[in-house]
Amino acid sequence: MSSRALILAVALVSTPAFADDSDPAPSTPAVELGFGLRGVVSINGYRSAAVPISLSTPAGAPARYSGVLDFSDTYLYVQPRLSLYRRSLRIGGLFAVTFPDAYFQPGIPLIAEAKLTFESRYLDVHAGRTRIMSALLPFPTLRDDDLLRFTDAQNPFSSGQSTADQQFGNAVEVFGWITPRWFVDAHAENLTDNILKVESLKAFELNAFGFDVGYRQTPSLARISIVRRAGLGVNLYHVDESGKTLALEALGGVWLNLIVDPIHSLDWRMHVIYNDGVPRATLATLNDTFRARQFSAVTALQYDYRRQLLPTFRTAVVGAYKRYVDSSIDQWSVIANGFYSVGLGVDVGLQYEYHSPVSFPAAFDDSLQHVLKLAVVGRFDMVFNKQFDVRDSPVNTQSGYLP
Amino acid sequence: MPMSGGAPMSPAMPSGASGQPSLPRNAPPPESPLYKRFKLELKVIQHELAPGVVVHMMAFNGQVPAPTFRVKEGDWVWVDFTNASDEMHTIHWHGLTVPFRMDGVPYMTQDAVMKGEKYSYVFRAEPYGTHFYHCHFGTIMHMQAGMYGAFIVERDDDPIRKEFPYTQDYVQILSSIDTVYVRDQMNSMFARMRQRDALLMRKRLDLPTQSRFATLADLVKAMAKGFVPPYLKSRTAPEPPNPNFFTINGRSYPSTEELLVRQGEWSRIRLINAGNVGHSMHLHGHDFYQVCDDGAPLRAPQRMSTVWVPPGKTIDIVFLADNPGVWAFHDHLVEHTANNGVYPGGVMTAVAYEGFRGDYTPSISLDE
Repeated sequence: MSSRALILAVALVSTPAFADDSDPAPSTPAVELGFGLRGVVSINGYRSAAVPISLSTPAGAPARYSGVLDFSDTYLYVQPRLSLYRRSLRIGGLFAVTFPDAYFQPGIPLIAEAKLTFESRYLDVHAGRTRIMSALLPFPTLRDDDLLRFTDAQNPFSSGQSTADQQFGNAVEVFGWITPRWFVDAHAENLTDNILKVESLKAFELNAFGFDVGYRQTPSLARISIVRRAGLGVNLYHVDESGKTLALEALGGVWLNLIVDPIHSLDWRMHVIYNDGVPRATLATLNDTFRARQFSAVTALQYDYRRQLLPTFRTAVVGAYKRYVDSSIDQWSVIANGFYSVGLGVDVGLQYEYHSPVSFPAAFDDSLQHVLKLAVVGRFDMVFNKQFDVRDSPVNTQSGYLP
Repeated sequence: MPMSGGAPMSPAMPSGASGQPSLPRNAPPPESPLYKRFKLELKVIQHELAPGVVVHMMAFNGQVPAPTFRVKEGDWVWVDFTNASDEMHTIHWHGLTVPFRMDGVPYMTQDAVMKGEKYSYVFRAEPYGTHFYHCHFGTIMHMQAGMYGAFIVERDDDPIRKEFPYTQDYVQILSSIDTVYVRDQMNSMFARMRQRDALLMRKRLDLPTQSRFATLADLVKAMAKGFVPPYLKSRTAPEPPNPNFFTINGRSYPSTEELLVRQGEWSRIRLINAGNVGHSMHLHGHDFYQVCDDGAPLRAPQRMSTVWVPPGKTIDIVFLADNPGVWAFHDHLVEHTANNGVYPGGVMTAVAYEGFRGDYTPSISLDE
């Protein structure tokens, strides 16, 4: 099992065994190389509560923080793609590093993506380290793990050392495209107890499985359509505890435009997760909070102003709620933010977070209640030697798919 | 490929595109049988440039190149254009001396024709000669994407035929396409136009949102208030088109069509450069005469074997089929005789004598 994982991990940077020098290729096929950066830097100010709240503060941390410079979630990727002999088939890869949560080993990059991709007209296959299918929708928070406990399916194998445990894993994913916008997928993952450990790259024992059906509007047309995204999903976790082999989880999400307008748009989204996990009357460890039977719901309203069709200003309010069914513990959070675009892909903004105090045992000290973040966010994507279109481009979806 | 016409039309100028002008001065009344009537509809199709190379293109009446018009000099022409695509378009009648409001230059002579709208072009076919028509909106992309066709104005007393009694009359529209540039531009323009359409439906599409201004002073004023022109580095990375396929009548070799000739007969080839690079057209085994330049007959036809056809130009040549065989006819800018840089391809075809049986059988080569 470990050798299979090793092949996956190094395939992108090694020479294939069959490409020996005695048979040099007569010519080089066109290789497209994508490259991009998501940069997030924020100054976070805190007021701590007396009881633990979020999972992002390390055990033993002081009860009150005054602030921190946070560059977590910064993400750098390269993405090569090339055509196979049959012109409708493509193979590629994605390699990315990110910085996990600033409170845990800040500065140590995590291999977030190291996977091979296979694309055809109706089928996509991904295999390797990847951002797992733990959520059906993105939410308008500064970082995608700001409300991770509510927005994403929880990894029942995580020790809680890193929020990245909930987001990344070694996986095989198969997407079938029924139409250019409707898809079904099946995925199987190795979810790890601590993804920051190097050993996690070699782990490929499949301990989670899932199926989804979803709809995704073409991104550049999303503001002028009513439905931006929708989906339903089911996950199964091989928890093997208390006589229970598999834990079942159901997800549902919808993202709609309430005001369909390319300049002044207002959208609403809702995501719910019910995890019929392992019965837990008490939550003694972080892992307990991931395994326990629980229900979570997140909803958001976002107003987006695009003066002359250019990103200008957006503001959002996000509410999240979670209930641990067996222990009857409730948890909720509210986030409000606003971002002003100073350039294409470059925003400055402010985010306020309120996390409700809950009565978790003091085994994990986590006590941030009010958080204020002043942030600069930058993103760019470049493609060198551009060759291929994306599946859900406007032309491909409106005028027939071409690879 | 002659244009189909004669479809019934409403007696009045159709409504639709804002700014539809009234009939040109001296034009016959709308219901007059004097008009040669045509319909053009624009939609996006999948088009094969060469075997295995299929791209999205913009096609008048579903074909690339667009249908060829053949009318007589002095005819009144009525063309109903319907935009069935999601992007904006106009039609410019290149080389024809049409009235001001029929020239098809967006925001100079008319508003762009938006999705689902119609616009009627009415003009007199003049002057004599080989001309063409093309979209003048987003020209750099739309012409590469296939929005061009030949417009031939004939005379009963054809001055060329008098001197060179040709029996074959070929049209070859030369073009070039950067397939990646066209695809990316189509995607971005498609999304932009859909957004503008959405605003137009709400009557909220103002000029700056269209990147339009009444005057240069208005643009400068808008920039002072924060308008960012789309050509600035803060909005776009400079990526000028770099063509990788070169076409004759929308096809690259080996998909180009041969020109069939009969021994002892004259043939006329109307070369139209609807692309954005020049072509140095060379015929093997023959000399030819350049007889027209931009449709205008030359007083003294020039004998040559290679003729330069710059972008936007039409050049007519005639030659006598007096050397039986199958002869290459191609662009001598050899990078234009390649597909994706692989020779041979592109602007290459053959003049083939009808019934010719030589001691060598031509074949198709793809990699030399």
